[in-house]
Amino acid sequence: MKEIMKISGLSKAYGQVNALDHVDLAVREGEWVSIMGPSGSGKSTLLNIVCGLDSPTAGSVLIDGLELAGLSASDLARYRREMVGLIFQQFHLVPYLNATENVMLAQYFHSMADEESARIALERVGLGHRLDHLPAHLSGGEQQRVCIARALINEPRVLLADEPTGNLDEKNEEAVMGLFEELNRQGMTLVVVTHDASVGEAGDRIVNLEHGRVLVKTAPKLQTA
Amino acid sequence: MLLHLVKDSLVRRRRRVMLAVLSLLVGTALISSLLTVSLDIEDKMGKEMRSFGANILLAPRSESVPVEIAGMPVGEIGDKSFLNATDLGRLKAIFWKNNITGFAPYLYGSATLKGEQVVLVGTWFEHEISTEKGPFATGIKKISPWWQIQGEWPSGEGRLLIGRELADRLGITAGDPLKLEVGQSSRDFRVAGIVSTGSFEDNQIFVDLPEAQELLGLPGKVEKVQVSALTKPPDELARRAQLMEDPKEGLSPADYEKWYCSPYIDAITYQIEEAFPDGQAKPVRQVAEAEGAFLGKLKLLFALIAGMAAVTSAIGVTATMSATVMERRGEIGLMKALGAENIHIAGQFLLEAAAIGIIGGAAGYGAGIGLAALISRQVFDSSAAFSLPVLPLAIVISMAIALLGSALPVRRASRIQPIQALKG
Ligand SMILES: Nc1ncnc2c1ncn2[C@@H]1O[C@H](COP(=O)(O)OP(=O)(O)OP(=O)(O)O)[C@@H](O)[C@H]1O
Ligand SMILES: [Mg+2]
Repeated sequence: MKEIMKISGLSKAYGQVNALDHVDLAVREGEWVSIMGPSGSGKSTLLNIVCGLDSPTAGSVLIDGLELAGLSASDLARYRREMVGLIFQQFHLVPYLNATENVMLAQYFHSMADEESARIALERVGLGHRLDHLPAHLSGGEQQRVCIARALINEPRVLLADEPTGNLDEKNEEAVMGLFEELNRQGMTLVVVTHDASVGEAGDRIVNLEHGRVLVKTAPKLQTA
Repeated sequence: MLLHLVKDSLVRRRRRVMLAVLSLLVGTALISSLLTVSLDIEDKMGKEMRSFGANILLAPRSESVPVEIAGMPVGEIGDKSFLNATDLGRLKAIFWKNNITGFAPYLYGSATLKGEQVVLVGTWFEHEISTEKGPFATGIKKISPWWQIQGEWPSGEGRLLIGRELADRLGITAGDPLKLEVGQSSRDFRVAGIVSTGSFEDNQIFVDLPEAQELLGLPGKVEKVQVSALTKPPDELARRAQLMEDPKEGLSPADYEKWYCSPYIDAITYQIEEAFPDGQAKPVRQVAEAEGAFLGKLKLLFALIAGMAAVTSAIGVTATMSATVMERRGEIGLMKALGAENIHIAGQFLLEAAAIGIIGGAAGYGAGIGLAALISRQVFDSSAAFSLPVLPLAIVISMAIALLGSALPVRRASRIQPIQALKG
């Protein structure tokens, strides 16, 4: 399968700290890559650069043929709304918008808010019965599923998640992982940052970071298969 | 979606939004009231300015250039030409008759008082003439309200006003009897009041016109007439007409019609001359120009106050919008992370500002009408002319202020980096 993401020689320095140090990574279309490593190893930094929220000190990120380096702020915004779906550990839902409206918000920036398709997206993540709930009235797992629906609504090429289960209990974690598996089966490319081994092992491949460098690449599914 | 976001933001921060609305309300109220007042200020101030003196002088037409010393036409008696007092009612029959707010005739002569030669002036103190619209009160008291009278205005026969300096020099006080001699004839008067104007009137004696005519042997005659007229400041058309010998010949028929039917001072003097074929009506340029200059300064003052009000309201809006932007930092960061561009973000805040502007503008217009009425009553002693066109204007102004006041906060919002906003 073709490569959808190619990261080469990526470095990010914060003053003296090298958050990323010559990282090379390629992700194929439909692949599920887990990025793991100890705290401070540069996982979030890597993901933020890939989703165009942060800029690297050196190196290149090529996504579906698009080179992120040198894109203007406006082009990066367009890249974010059209090509990637983002999922955060802290959910980041707008507190005064209900579940449907939170999903529609992403649509609004992309093209046109459409309540019907937002509803379908929420049903797809099993929240058909929570459409009108405000985030405060949803459980953590439900909130994260709203985020997944929001990330998917514009049909991104890649789903990028930073500690998606970090704030969830086991049951909710299972629900979210179940959704990821289903999405991956349907062909979605996933890059999931986690320090939870069980979450990491659900991926096709684990990329271990330490001090901003890629350590070992393992393919848990292939190994166990 | 956009409306939803904006509505929600407004409702959730209604306290703070009310502050911005209030600041716009005050600003727009000030601006729209000044606007309302200044729209008919020419009319109002015109009336007010009329109290600074007549602005048109009507005199008999003469070949020579009229020479005046101390307000009195000089020349040999034999050269003197006169107008007829009975014709003066024609002033209230011209096209712009309603703009003629008053007039007073003058007849000059010299008389002897206590052995001293003095200037005798016959005029109307308070006089009623009949017009097609009923009686019209006029006279010097009306057109020269700044005259200070110690004692009272003369009323009834044999009463006169004497100038302050003359009275002091001759030791005359209000209530004194005195005898005026003109040639062989003489007449007894009583001093009703002493007049001070700070000008040549302080050395003159004023008696009722018929009594002066009789004393001077000039029955029914008038030497000049001071006319107070409400006028419109000259504009391009008026200035063009001013350069012409006869605007009727010089202007196109349509322009002439327009000129004739506008209360320019020249159009009014033109109409007065039509009514007095033997007369010559001249604008008193000093008064007219002083009026124009004063109006200009007043308008400048209004503009300055309005400008300051606008700036102050804009600052109020800036404060509110800045606080809103700070409060919504996280949301803004999230929206940007989801792919919102600056225009999406700016759009929300500008729409929010526009909504605040509309509310503040409408409320400010309401308050402004009240304020305008107050200004009109207190300052100009008349009711405000309500001008509805000011409503949309007030809203537009208020919106413009709100948008301008939001410029800085919006700029700040557009500089928010999503990654930092999401972390914090
Ligand atoms: N804005 C910043 N300024 C300075 N240093 C930073 C900044 N962001 C990250 N770092 C540093 O870069 C390194 C990598 O941080 P990063 O957030 O990528 O780690 P992480 O692997 O996501 O850790 P965690 O598992 O705790 O989330 C850390 O040493 C961190 O202190
Ligand atoms: Mg992290």
